[in-house]
Amino acid sequence: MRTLRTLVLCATVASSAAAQGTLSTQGFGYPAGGLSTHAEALGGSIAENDPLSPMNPAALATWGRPGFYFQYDPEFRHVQANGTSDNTTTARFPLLAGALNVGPRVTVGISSTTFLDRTWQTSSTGYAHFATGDSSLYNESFSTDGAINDVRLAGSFLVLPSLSVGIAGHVLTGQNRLLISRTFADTNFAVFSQGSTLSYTGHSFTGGVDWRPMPTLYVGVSGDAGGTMRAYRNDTTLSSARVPKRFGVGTVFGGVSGLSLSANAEWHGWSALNGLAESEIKAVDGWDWGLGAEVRAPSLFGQEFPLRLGYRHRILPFEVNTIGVHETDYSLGLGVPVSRGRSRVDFSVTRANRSANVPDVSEHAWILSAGFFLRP
Amino acid sequence: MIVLRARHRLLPLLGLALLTLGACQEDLAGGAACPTLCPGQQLEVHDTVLVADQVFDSTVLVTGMPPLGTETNLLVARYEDAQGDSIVSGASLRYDSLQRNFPRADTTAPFVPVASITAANLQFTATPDTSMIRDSLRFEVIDIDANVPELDTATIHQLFLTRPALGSLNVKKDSVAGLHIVPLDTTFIRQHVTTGTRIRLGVRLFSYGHDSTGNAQVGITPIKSTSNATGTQTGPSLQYMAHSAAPATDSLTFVNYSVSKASGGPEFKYLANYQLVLKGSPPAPADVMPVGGLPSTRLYMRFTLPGALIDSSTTIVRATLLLHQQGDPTFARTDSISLTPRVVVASPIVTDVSKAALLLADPATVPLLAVRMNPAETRTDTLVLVSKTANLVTLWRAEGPNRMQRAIVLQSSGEGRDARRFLLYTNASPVDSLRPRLHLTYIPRSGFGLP
Repeated sequence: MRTLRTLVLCATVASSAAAQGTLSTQGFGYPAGGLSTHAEALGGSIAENDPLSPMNPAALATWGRPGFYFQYDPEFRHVQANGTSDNTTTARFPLLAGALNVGPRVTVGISSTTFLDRTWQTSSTGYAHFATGDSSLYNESFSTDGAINDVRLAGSFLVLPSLSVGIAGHVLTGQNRLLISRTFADTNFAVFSQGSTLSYTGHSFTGGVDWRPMPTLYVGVSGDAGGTMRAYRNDTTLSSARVPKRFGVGTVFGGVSGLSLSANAEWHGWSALNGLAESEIKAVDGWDWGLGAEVRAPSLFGQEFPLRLGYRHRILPFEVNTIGVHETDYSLGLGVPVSRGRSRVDFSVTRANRSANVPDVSEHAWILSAGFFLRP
Repeated sequence: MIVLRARHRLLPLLGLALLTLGACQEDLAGGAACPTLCPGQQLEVHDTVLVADQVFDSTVLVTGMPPLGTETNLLVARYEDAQGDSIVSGASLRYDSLQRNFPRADTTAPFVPVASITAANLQFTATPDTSMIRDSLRFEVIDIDANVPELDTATIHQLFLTRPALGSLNVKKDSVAGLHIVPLDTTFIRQHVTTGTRIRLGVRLFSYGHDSTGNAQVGITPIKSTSNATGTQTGPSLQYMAHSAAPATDSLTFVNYSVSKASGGPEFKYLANYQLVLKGSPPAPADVMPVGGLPSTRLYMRFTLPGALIDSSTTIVRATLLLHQQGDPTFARTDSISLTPRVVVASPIVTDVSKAALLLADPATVPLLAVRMNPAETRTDTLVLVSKTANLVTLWRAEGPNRMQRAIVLQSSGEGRDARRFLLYTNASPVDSLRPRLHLTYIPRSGFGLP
């Protein structure tokens, strides 16, 4: 069943699982999507200029021939707290995208990416003591399954050979399936089980510009205007908030032979989600910035295998106990051209260090990523 | 050489790809950082004890269980102890349709009626309680037919006591188990067979021998059953060797069975065999209610739990009913019997408690655990109404208050065949500590993860 579920997940766009009791999966979850494998390898530094990353719709102008892209990102997480540790494995499918050209100037693309992943589980064991003096051993589990996904329909228009603009509409949708269970060792107790399904809908719009002022310099700028986001249970609206705004700017410089340098900065207004959350969950605004370098590696079979290095630092959306959580990533990757360069498989490996000012708690993860860009 | 280098370069790529694909198997078990990193993950567990009127709004004793004609075991008993004939019970076997004609191969030929009978007997299988039989037994079969309404058992009661025996059978203690054949008066049988009138027989029991005092009881299977394997029929049968009139060419042993219903139900069924308690258990003390005994009683208990606990999203994880039992030394024995809680499935429109006490869920459907103990003990009985295997509250919630009474019935496993009874204190007990108590543990709905 687990395998089947995993297979089902493999067939969906963006879903993931992570262990709770972590720094990264607080609140409505971990922002796992938004970057292609290529961009992840470069620390997200090409996000504003990358047609595969659903950030700047103007970047779609460089998509090229019609194609399809999907990505798989397993994460191996290690959490250490109070002398004990958890090692968990998470399977993520954070991005699915496709685009085609409508005439020589217009490119239209659709994508789905994980906006916030809220799939995790905790298990604990303890003794319940009762007023009548007896007690019983119990095992308790809290889990949520699901994510809010960002489905984007975008179009870019090539105004000039060196300038493109783009707009996109986003629909944020998804579900969290929340489950609590407690089983007692004493058979005179029934199993406690409580399930809820929380659904989300929301929308927003993005506008962006991609400009190449020099043949070796690319600049991208984009921003999101958040619409309304609602949380439902069954047919009852539980809460509403604004979709977080975002603003980003990035640049890629290819002026050095065999080397490409990039940098990027994004601001996320996550605090707009606070109206959606229970009081214990608090989202904070924060910056996400990255640096990257791509070098031309020795060729193999007549193909070039670009090697990529990246650094990324960001503030995760949800605080833990009113303390902000920071993530610092170091990444390495390469691209493998396939079908004489028409298609491509990208690989990356990222070391993510998450920290907060919480005593005796640390979290580290290895994130592998494989992106498959197929163009007939 | 170039090919070799290419292979070496591909190895890390291949390893990365395999590692990536291998991570499809998730491992979500976490929680080491709880409670520090696990806000909102604390369940409220409440524990409370409800007493007497907070638990039950109605406690009714239902007598005469199982209903007449629905017994699965006809108790024939006589307790001849220091108290005299403290328990006397007999079985009523009813043969309302007797075979009167010889079967003919040629169906166009006229019937040949029975003209004479040379031998007649009543055959039945007895299941004895050998622990109670000190010496040997004598079964007596009597005519209990009377021209009275079906449910007029008072007249039948008198006949049991006053009628002479049509036949008797002495059985040694070590032969009580098995098939017994009681010879009957052939004149009596012939008269009824030839005139086509019904025969109703009573079976009563006496001890005899050098130690004729003591308790004795056996059970007679009341219904006819047929073995699927052998086709053999069992059950009390009236048999007679019959002959036709001259020329006396036809002779045959006719076997007559009562046609009884196979399982219990509230109505008295025509032609049903039944058990008649001629002398029953003494009255229970004033401040307790008996469950079991002869004739047997059940205790109907209707709950008055707050709707906030049953019909809300609160989950009751434990419901334990504590009943205080007064030891009953009457008919004391060393072995134990069970006090069984049964779930009433009658809807609230069934206001007759005696009927509601019969409309019970199959124990396999709601397997509330019985408590096995000796009724002679003074103790506290713990009945588990909500557990890992059976959850009464979940059933109540699913059915709703308009489709199902929120009540249970307490029943003795010795119902109808064991004179012992459980004496239980109820809400009316003058001592507060002896009244029923319900120990509840519940968990309100958690707002975990919800806005």
